[in-house]
Amino acid sequence: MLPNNQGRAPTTRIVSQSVVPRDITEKFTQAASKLKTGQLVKDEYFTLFEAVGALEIMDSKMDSGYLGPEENRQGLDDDYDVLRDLSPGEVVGIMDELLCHEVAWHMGHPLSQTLFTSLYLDKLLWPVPRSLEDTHFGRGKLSGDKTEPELVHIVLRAYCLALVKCCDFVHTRVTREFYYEEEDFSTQLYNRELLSHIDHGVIGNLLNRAISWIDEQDTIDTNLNSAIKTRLEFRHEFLFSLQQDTNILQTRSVDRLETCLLMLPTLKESSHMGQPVPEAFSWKIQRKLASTVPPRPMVRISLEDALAHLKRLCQDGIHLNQILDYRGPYNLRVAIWTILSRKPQPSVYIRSLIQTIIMNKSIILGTVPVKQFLYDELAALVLPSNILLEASLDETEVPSDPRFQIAQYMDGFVRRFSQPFVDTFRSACLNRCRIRRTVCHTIVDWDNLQMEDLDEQLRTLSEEPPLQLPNGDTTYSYPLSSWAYHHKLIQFRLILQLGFELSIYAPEELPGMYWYLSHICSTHLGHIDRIRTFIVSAAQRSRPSLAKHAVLRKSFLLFDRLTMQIVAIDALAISLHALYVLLSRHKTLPTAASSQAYSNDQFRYELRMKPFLHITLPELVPYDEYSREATLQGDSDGIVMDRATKAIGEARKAWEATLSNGPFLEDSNGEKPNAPALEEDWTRDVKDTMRACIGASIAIETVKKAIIANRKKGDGAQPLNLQVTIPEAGSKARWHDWWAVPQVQPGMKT
Amino acid sequence: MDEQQAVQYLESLIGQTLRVHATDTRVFVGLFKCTDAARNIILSNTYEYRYPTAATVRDAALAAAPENLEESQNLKLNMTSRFIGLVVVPGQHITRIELEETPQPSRVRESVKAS
Amino acid sequence: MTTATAKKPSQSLNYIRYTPTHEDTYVAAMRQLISKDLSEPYSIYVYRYFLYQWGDLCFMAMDNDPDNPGTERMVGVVVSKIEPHRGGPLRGYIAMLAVQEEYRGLGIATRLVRMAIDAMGGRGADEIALETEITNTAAMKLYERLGFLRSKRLHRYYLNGNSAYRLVLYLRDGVGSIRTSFDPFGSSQGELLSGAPLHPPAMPTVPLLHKNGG
Repeated sequence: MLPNNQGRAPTTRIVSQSVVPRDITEKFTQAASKLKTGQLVKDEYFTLFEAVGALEIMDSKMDSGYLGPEENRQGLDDDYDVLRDLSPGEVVGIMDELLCHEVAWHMGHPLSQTLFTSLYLDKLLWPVPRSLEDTHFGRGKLSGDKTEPELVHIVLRAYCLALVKCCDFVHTRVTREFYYEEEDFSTQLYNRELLSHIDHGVIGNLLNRAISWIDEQDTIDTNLNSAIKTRLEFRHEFLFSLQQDTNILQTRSVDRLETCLLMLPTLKESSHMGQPVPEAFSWKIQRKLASTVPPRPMVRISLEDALAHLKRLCQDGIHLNQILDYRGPYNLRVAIWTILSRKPQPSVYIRSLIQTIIMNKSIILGTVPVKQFLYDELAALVLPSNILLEASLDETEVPSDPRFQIAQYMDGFVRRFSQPFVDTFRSACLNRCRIRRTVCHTIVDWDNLQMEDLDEQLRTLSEEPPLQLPNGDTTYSYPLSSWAYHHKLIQFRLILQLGFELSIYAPEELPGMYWYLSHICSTHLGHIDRIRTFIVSAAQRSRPSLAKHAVLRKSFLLFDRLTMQIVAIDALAISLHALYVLLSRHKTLPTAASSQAYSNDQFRYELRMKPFLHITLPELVPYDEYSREATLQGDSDGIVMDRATKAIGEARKAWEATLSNGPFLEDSNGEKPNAPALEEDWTRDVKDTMRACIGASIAIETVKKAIIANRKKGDGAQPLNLQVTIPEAGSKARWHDWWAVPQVQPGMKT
Repeated sequence: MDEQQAVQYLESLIGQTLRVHATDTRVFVGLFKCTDAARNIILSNTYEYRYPTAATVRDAALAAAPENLEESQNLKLNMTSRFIGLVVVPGQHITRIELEETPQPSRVRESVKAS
Repeated sequence: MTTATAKKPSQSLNYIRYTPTHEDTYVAAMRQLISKDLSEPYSIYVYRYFLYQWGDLCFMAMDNDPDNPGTERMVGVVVSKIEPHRGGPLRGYIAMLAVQEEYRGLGIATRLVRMAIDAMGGRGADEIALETEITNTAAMKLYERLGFLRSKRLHRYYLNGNSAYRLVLYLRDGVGSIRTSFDPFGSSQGELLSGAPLHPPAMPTVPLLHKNGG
């Protein structure tokens, strides 16, 4: 993964001195008037599609340089004087407003609508300062013309410079990683710079000087004085926290972020002392920025929201420390997906930082070479103590030696699979919509990568004996393809579960989608059994040593763990499937499509299966089969009710077991990650799922009663006397985003 | 000029750099891409030029010659410019259209010699 | 209230297909109708892009103009296009839909969308697609009632920071299996792997937003 390309506007137009303008107004106007309505004269390579992107000048919605009639007199200049005296309360007010704008930028809003509306920052950053000396508010004015008040010159200036430098660190980190422009972040700087060439230490000194200066002031009210001081100190700590960046891999220190976190409540408590200075911010500055987008209003977020966002940023940054100790790929996967599935999702800065930490220059977590990482994964899942992984440890250089050839093949495998494998971790850093879209792409890559022929070559070289099946056929383990298939099935599941999370599915699709989820789960369970069978038989053949026995035991523990998790998901999916079938049969399930809708169930199924249509394995379920299975055709209500009840019982047991197993597994050295914060998140997630199970049990019982009541009344064909709502993902009644459990209540009819 | 000549003339301008002056005195300089009967002009790679405001002129004048304001009357300020990309300048807001021409190189050399 | 009564919809509206002969009046009326509802601003060339190539896929609802007896005014409009999607299926696309406020809730938008879908179907469309702001529940309901499914969610799709759903409707079977020259699900150069986003990020007006009142 490379960093994003950046479309930056050219800085200046190069105009040759010899260019001479010639007035063609009259001739042009005359010629244009000869054209018919709708007739265009255009560059043959310039399409109308491109024209769609053109901004219309003099239209207030599109022309960022447009001045309304009432503004025209005043022109671009804002009356605000950045050299004016500020009261201490106004300084607090401006600092807090700047903080809100900074956080709004972190949240994805462009600088033009946030920080770059500040007239103070504008003065410091434009024209682009060549050195620190250029960065003062009296620029462009005559020296000695007006002295800068100290509160502005010493305090506010230091704060502003440090804030800009903070933005520089954030900007640098995000743009080095993979992000989506405008979706995750707006990187556009409008031809300005964020003091990237000025050392943070120098700015830190300015802050220290400002802190000492404020300490010496005895004419300022004590409370206001300490409010200003806290803000300077917070800025100092935040600057050095962001400066630490990936150094956390070496230092393992999050002290600065912890200090920031401790200071946030003080910022909140003292914010009422701030006196707003709205004139110090103007969206008119957009008219001076090099910008190819329409003008947009200033973004306003409350200080409360800003501090809440910062708090999460600090906490996420602190908890990052808990993913850094390498305890094998399984544990890393759990840790990464847990921290990144926090709601709201960690900020783009944290997500970018995690991307770098996961892998930088082919090194995982700053210590593990990617080949080792991939081998650890293979060893745990498909090749415990296998010659395929040991071959490369040999020094054999005889080309005819099978071990040498195995090592060659395996190297090729590592080359092809390291990136896709690491991307299964890094994709967690994308925004949730993009995770799903990206997995829809990568799933095809994994399908293409599942290379049985490589397995066959390796099998011959390693002289793997066949396994006799009960029916007399023989088969081989295909370990690398098996492993790829395992990952593909995880991705299938993720696409479906994120589909629920992102509210992609209509209510009438829920029976089918939960059936499909359970179908993928049972396919996966069968696949894990197959892998286990081969490992057992290999172990039986080779009579492993004590050391190898321990390795095998670890693999079996992993299979048990995976199996338990999938069983838990499968059972809950089966019960919801059955529940939705009952609701649908009894015409009690809300539907999005009307009876006069275009399209039909088959077309809609095809659309839903679009990401999977070109996948070789698992095979696509033909529509007829899907239709039978998804509606539980041929099963009576009694059977379906039984199915729902049994499955939900199983689900509750399996989720209990999952919870008591905990998130992590011992690695090959018998160590588990020490990650209490992530463990807490993980536990909360499982407990939410268990709440969804309880909710489903209750719904199943209510539906059962209603069906039986209908049957007693002899009107089995009537809709059930029930009110069914499906809580939106993210709402309180939706226990877990991945589980759309209906709320079923007895209806109004008696 | 008949329609055919009109189209021919406008087509000859395609791809050339135009300076389009707007009713609010801004000037848009970009490559001519398209127009229509209402003289709506599409320019690409456009820069917006704006005359300096009265306040800026005053400040600059003070900075250049604080003691002698009269002398600074001759002061020339650059127009501020910024890149704004692809734009449509609607016909009703156009006050003047100029074509940027580069004189023949030989003539440039002559003028250099002459100076 | 008085204005609302004055603008009360007539008994029967006139649904017509766009014709280029009245470009000036129609486009001006459309711009007015649409710009009221949309947060995304469109230049005159946005309308030209659609109308010059697919004017036959644009439909308008007209009512008698109470201010100018004997003339009609536009109270609803749908603008669409049809093109092969990445060299694959023929995709109809509903770009804009707007109904004047006092005319909402009368089924005008649904009628217009149906006319557009039927016209696109008539031109051989395999599928119909569009984007709708997540918060625009009226539009979501309208399209979902017609059988559209949400195919993906688009994070912060609009300039105002709101997310969208892409809604898709297949008009015949086998559409999903049509390979595209750039297959979003068929390339080994996935977005995550190649680094650069597949589309230039800053296309200010390309997300064509809908708003309407059903």
